[in-house]
Order: sequence, then C-alpha cells, then structure tokens
Amino acid sequence: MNIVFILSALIASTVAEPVDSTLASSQILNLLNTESRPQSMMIPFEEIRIHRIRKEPLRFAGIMRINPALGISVAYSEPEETTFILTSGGLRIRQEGKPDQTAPEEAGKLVQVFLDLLTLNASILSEQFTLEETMEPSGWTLTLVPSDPALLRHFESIRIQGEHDWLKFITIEHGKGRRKQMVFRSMPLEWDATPEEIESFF
Amino acid sequence: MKNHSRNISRILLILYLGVMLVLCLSIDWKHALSTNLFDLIDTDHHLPEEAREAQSILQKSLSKEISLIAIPSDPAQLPALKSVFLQGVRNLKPVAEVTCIGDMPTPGSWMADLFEHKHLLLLPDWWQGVSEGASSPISDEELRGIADEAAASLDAFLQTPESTAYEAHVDGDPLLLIPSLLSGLSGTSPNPSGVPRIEISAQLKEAPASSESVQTILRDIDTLRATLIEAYPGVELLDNGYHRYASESESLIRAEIPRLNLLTAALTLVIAFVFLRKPLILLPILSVLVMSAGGAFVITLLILGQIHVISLVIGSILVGIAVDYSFHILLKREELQTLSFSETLFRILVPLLASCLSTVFGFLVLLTNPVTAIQQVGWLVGIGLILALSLSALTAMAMDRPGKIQLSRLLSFHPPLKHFRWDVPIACILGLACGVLYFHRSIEKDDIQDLQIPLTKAPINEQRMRSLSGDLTTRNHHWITIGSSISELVDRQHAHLTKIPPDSGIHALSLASILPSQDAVDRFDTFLQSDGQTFIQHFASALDHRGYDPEAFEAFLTAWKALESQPASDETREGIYRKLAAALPYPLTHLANQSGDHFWGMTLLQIPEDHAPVESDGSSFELAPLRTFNQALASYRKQVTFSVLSAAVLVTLACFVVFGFKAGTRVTGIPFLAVTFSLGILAIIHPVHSLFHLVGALLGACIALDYAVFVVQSKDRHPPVSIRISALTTLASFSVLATSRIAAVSDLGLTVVTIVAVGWLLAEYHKLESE
Repeated sequence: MNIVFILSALIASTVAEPVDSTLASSQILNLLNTESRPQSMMIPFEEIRIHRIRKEPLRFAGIMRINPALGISVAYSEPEETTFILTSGGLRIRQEGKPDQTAPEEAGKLVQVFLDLLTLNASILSEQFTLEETMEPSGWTLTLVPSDPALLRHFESIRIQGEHDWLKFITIEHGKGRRKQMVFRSMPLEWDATPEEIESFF
Repeated sequence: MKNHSRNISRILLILYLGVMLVLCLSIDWKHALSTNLFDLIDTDHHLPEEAREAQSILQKSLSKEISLIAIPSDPAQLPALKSVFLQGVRNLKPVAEVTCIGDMPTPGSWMADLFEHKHLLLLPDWWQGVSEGASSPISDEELRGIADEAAASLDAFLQTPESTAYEAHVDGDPLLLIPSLLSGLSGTSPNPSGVPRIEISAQLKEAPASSESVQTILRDIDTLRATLIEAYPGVELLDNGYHRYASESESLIRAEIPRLNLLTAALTLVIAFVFLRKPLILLPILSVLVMSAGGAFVITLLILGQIHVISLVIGSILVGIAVDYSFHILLKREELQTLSFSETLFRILVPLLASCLSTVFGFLVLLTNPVTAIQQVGWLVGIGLILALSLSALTAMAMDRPGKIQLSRLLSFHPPLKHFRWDVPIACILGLACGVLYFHRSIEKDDIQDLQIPLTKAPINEQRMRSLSGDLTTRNHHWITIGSSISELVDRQHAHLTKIPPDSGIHALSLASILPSQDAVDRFDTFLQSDGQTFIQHFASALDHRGYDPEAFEAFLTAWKALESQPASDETREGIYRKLAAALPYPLTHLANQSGDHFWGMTLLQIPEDHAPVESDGSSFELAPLRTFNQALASYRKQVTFSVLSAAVLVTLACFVVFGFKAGTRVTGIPFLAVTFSLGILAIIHPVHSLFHLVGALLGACIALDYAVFVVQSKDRHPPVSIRISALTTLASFSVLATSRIAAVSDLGLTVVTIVAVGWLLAEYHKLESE
C-alpha cells in the first residue's frame, strides 16, 4: 500500500473553516471562465519540483483531465505512471496493479482547495485566499495567498500565470526552499470522455 | 381431604404465584437471555493469569468488531459514497469507533510522538535491516555501500510523483524512516479483488451479548442500508461480525426451544391419553409443570443474572422429569382424602423425597462443574425438580374433587419372562465388557461448537465478504504477549516473530513493527559510537554524488549528533514507548495495553491458509477461542469424570448404609448395570464420549437409581405402575432431546434415553418371578 502521499495530510492539522471575507471579483478568473472554455477538458502538463536539498529540479509529465461532475484526474506518465484523482469525496491514488489508495478524510479540505483552484471557482477561492492580480501586455499573474493559517502550513502562495484565456503556469510556493510549478504548454483540449476513460481516470 | 388442609394449600399456591410475580418484576428481562457462545465457558486455565486476563479483554474487544462493505452500482460514486457511508456508520448509536480500510489511523499525538522521536525509535531497526550480513566489525567499504544505498533510495523515492507529500520532511529524514515504517505497517491491508468498494471497520460500544443488542445492531444496519440505497440506488451493503453469527444462532435456537418443548408436551399428552382413563387429570399436571418450570427459570435468573439459551434447551428435560412427581402424587390422591395437611405432606413427601433427592443430588453435582452451561442446567433443573415436587403436593391437596386416577390396563402388563439362574454374574461380566468396549471403541470429542446448531448463512456471508476483500488466501490470527514493561513486551514480540521465516508469506502487525528490540538498540548504539561519524561522511558524499546538497539535511545531522553524544537511556526509551503506546488510536488500540503492573500487546498475524500454525514460544499465546475452549472442555471432562465417579462411590456407600447389604446391592446394581449396558449400546451406535455424554450418564444413573429405590422398596410383585408411566414420560422427553440439532443436547438425550430404557428393563426384570 502506498500511503506515503497521504502523509502530509496526516501530519498537518485539520484545515479550519474558511474565514469570512468580502467576496472579491477577479478579472483573470472571469477571463478564464469564458463560455468557450470546454466543460470537460484535458491538458498535457509538465511539473517542475524545486527543493533546496537538490541541486537540480525534478521533472514530471502527464495529462490533467477535468470533469466538472467528477473532479480532476492528474495522470503522471513520467517518470512513472501514477494517477491522482481529486474529487469532492477526497483524494485517491491509482497505480497499475495496486488497489486504489484513499487519503484520509483530513486531506479532504486540502483537496477541495485544489479542486476549486483548478475548476476556477472564483467565489470560493476569494473566500479562502487574498487575491492579487497583475495585468501586463505580456500576460497576467494572479497570486493567491491563503487567509487561513492552516493552509499556510502547506503553501505560502499559489501563483497562476497566463496570457489571454490561456493558463500557462501554476506555481506553488511551499516556502523553505520548496516550489512546485506546473507548466501547460498548450491550450486545454475538449475531452469527450468515453465510459471506459471515465472508469480508467476516475 | 380436610377443608383446612385444602385452604392452606390454596393460600400457599397463591402466595407462590404472587412471589413469582414480584420476582418477575425485579428481573432485567432485556439481558436475561445470552446468545454469546463465550458466555458458556470460562477462559482457558492453561494460560498464565496475566495472559488469561488479556485474552478475555481482547476476546471481548474482537467480538465488538463489525465489518461493512458498500458496493456502488457505479464505481464513479465511490468518492461521494465514501463520505456518506462513513458518516452513516459513525451515526449508528451502538458504534464507538470507525475506520475506513486503506486509510491510515487518525493522526494524533501518537503520530506527533513518532515524528518527534523518529530517530530514537526507528534508527535501531533501520540499522539492523541495512547491516544484515555485514562483517563484524563493519568494514569501511561496507559502510560506504550502505550510505550509497541510502542515498539511492532517497533519490528513487523523490522521483515518484507521490513523494510530494513527504518532501517537506525529507531534510530531517533522508533515510526515509517514517515512509518505510508506514509501508511496513500497511502489509496487513487487504488485497485487491477487482470489485470497486468501500470497506469500513467499526467497533461497537458493547459486545452484542444479548438478543436485544444483536437486534439493535441489525436494525441500525438495515436503516443505514435503506439510507444509502435512497441516496445511491443500486448500492449493496454487506456486514459481518459477531452479531451475524449470534443472530443466526439465536434464531435457530429460538426455533429449537419451542420445537423441543412442543414435541415433549405432545408426547406426554399422547402417553396420558393412552395410559390414563381420564385425560382431564392432565390439567393440574400441566399447571404444575408451568409453575415449576417458570419458577425455576425466574429463581435461576435471580441467582445467576443471565441464562444462556442453550441452557434453556437442555433445561427442557425438567418438563420430562417433573411430570413424574405429578403422576406419583395424583396416583396417591385417593388415599389422601381423609388426612390432615401435615399427615398428607408426610405421606406424600417421604417416599417421593427418597427418589427425588437422588435426582436432585445428580443435578447439584452439576453446580460444581466449571462449564457455565452445565452449571446453569444444574440450577435450573435442580430448582425445578424441588418446585415440581412441592407444587405437585400442594396442587393435589388444593383440588376440590380429587376423583380417582384410573390407569389403563396397558400399564399393568405381566412380562412372560422369568429370572434365570446365573443372571447376576453374567450381567456383571457383560456390564464390565460393555464398559471396556465403550472406552476401547469411543473417541474423545471436545468441541464447543457442539453447543450450537451448525450455522449456514453467517459463514456464507463471511466468505463473500472475505472474497470481496480479496483475502481468501489468508487468515487472521491474534497473539498475546505479556511483559513487565513495554521494552520487555516488544523484546518478546521480536523473539516470537524471529521464529517466523521471512519467506513464509506471513504478515505481522504489532508494537514490534514500530519499536526496536533491546538487541537492535544495543547494536545501533555500538555502531553509532564506533562508526557513526564515518557513516555520515560517506552518506554526505553519496548525496553529493547524486545531486543533493548534504548541508541542506541539517535537521537530520543535528539529531544524529545528539544521539551520538548522548545515547538514550533505557528509562528514556521506556518513557517514550509508553507515551506512544498510550496514544495509539483505533484500530491500533490493542497493540499495547496496561493491566495492573504488567503490559500486554496483540500481534496480528496474517497467515496463508495452507501455512502450518505458528508455534507458541512460551511467552506469546495465540488467541484461538475455539481451540482454547475445546482444550478447556477436555480438561473439564476429566474433572467431571472424577467428580461423577466420586459421587457414585458416595451414593453406593450411602445406599449400603440405608438399605443394608442385600437391598443396597440391588439398589446400586440396577443403575450400575444400566449405565454399563448403555455404554455397550453407545459403543455400537455412537462411539463418542464428550462432556455431554458424561452429564447424560450422570442424569441417567440418577433416574435409574430412582427406579431402583422404588422397585427394591416395593413389596409388590410387579414394579410400581408409577415407574412405568414415569419411564415412559422420561423416555419421551429425552428422545425428543436426542433429535435436537444441537449436537451436545442430542448426545445428552441419547445417553439418558439409553440408560433410562435399560434401567427400566432392569427394574422390570428385578420383579420377575424366579425360575
């Protein structure tokens, strides 16, 4: 059983309820949430992990699938095949030849944050984060700083960057010399999922 | 009968009924009946006192466990179903703790302790693992190899996508002590079965010992099932646990009790209609039976607090024996017409008491029996017989128009046989031969499961659940280890586990899976003092070589240096062990417990089905309730054999004293020959001997002695007709028991039937004319 992944959730304290804050509007999130944006989509990604203990960053690659009804499936293809399935019910990890591993409930709230982020749920995000937007001719940057101290234990900030309606980077600053960056080199593709694909990725 | 005698009897009967009514109100009827098989017998006396106590605690705890599996019709429902399912189980009133299989136990102070002291707790076992096969003293080359291997493991770990969860901690744990520990602990997880499902393990607040609690659990699970189906149509909910077995066992036994009682009553009625000219006389007999059986039940409940349903089944024999007294007394009613109350009592009770007491004595011997079920039968039937005797007398005296009981001529038959000359010596030789044949042919059978009707639905349900969980190939075995400290307990667990070959396919989960043995601690301390610094230099070099910055691991290096400069004392270790053990959450609760001044811990072994049993090393004991109970039954059988033989000698001596040598020989000879001849018959038809055969033999001998007293004392040329009608009713009731689906009850019934039948024949033969 691969339970290592869920460890951070075990160690971390339970995330507290969202703080009450004024609902902010985000130009960038509105920009991304256009009607032309496919509801069910797939996006190839590259992930770069930077840790102060390593001289060089680690690189991963895979395809992210987003289905508003089911959740998000992050299927790593390199260096090994592993799929993270994030749903409203929590997090599961799927690996070939092994039973699905379910993260404990304590991980659920953290998973929900990422679900809201990747499905661009502006209203919820603005409740849990302080949003800071920068619009430049070369592109835009939206920085999300957790309002909740419990979330701050996991990351100091999340920065998403893009151009027009193309989300190009998600950078998670963990602090203490750790950073994670997801790079989307292409626009999301519409994913007309077959039942077999849904079964395979969710 | 004089009027005032009748009035006194009636007042006494009303008083009796009133007292019983008051007693009934003071009984906790919810917990009056037990269905728990483990209530029938005490724990194993072969184990040390501490282990027995631990065994009892663990056994009770395990009987609180229930497993639930939810299978959605659509696998996509799994995540959402999980939270609803978990919450639903948590909301069940009888449930105390819940965990989802595959999830880690709830994080808490134990996890915080584990993290804080990970180096102190886990480095000894890490070193033991990586240095296995190394030379002593370890060479520099070997140290370098171990350091290289550790750096390679860290690098490989970080290359996995899921390492993201632990990467915040690797600077303090580059040897991956915590991930390795958790990976090892997870070896006891169920295997994949290909069926998308959610498995939940829950612990109840109380073991489902009573019928009420079993029904509550079943009702709650049904409600949960309905809720889940409403939210997720097509979802299937399966459950398993002690409650399933208790429920099926109880329903089978509950069906068995009325079946046995109705059959007994029906056969008694048939006998009455056939052999009594006025069957209406049965009404007072039936009222005596109801009052005595009910009274015995109430008084026994007041004495013991609870009765097992099995004891009630065996206790059905009371009806068959008690009816004898009613017959005896009612047959004498005619001559009681003109006597005073005291004269009547004397006239009725003296002869009956002589025979009754021998039977009651037999049942009183049962009270010394260590088997709870047999003790309960002893109380129930012993009290019932005394009540039946007294109530028969009172009822007979209280009746207005006693009338005359007219017996059928069928009961006054004269067997066309005569004594022959060498009958006594031949009978004795034959009797002894029968006894020898029985003990030569029969096999010992001590099986606690004989006390219940073989179950069908619950085992099939369990098999299905195991099949879904993918663990059909292994069996869980629970072991108990005792120690005066946690360190000693863990040392003993390690010693036990080292005897299991690593390639045996056995997975173990215990405190020893987390904590090191003293030997491992000593070896690590030696290594740390002699080669600790050299290893760190090699490790730093290996990390650097693989693209890591060794100086970034300062948290680990600081902890290493601290251990090097000041190794933890035994007291410090024990303190940390105790703190960690006390904070273990469900389902790890039983990995360590404290009872009085000692500690005990459970080891869960998942052993392949085809693997030979793991042997005890004298300090760890397997919790194997069935085997333990069977061993206890065997031991009790030997004790009871001794008690019965002693009682037989005492009764024989008493008979010689009371009746003189000649009559005493006949009084004791009839039951002796009845038992030995019966053993010969049983040697042919059912060559098994168990505790229940022995109890049957005791009862049979008491009843045969009863007949012997009557025929030897009777001056009539024929046996008293009361013996004939009594034997018929006794045979009828015990024959019904012999048809029981409960093996123990059937064995008991068959043994008594055989002995009573032979005893009756011998009583008849005794009264035959000589040649």
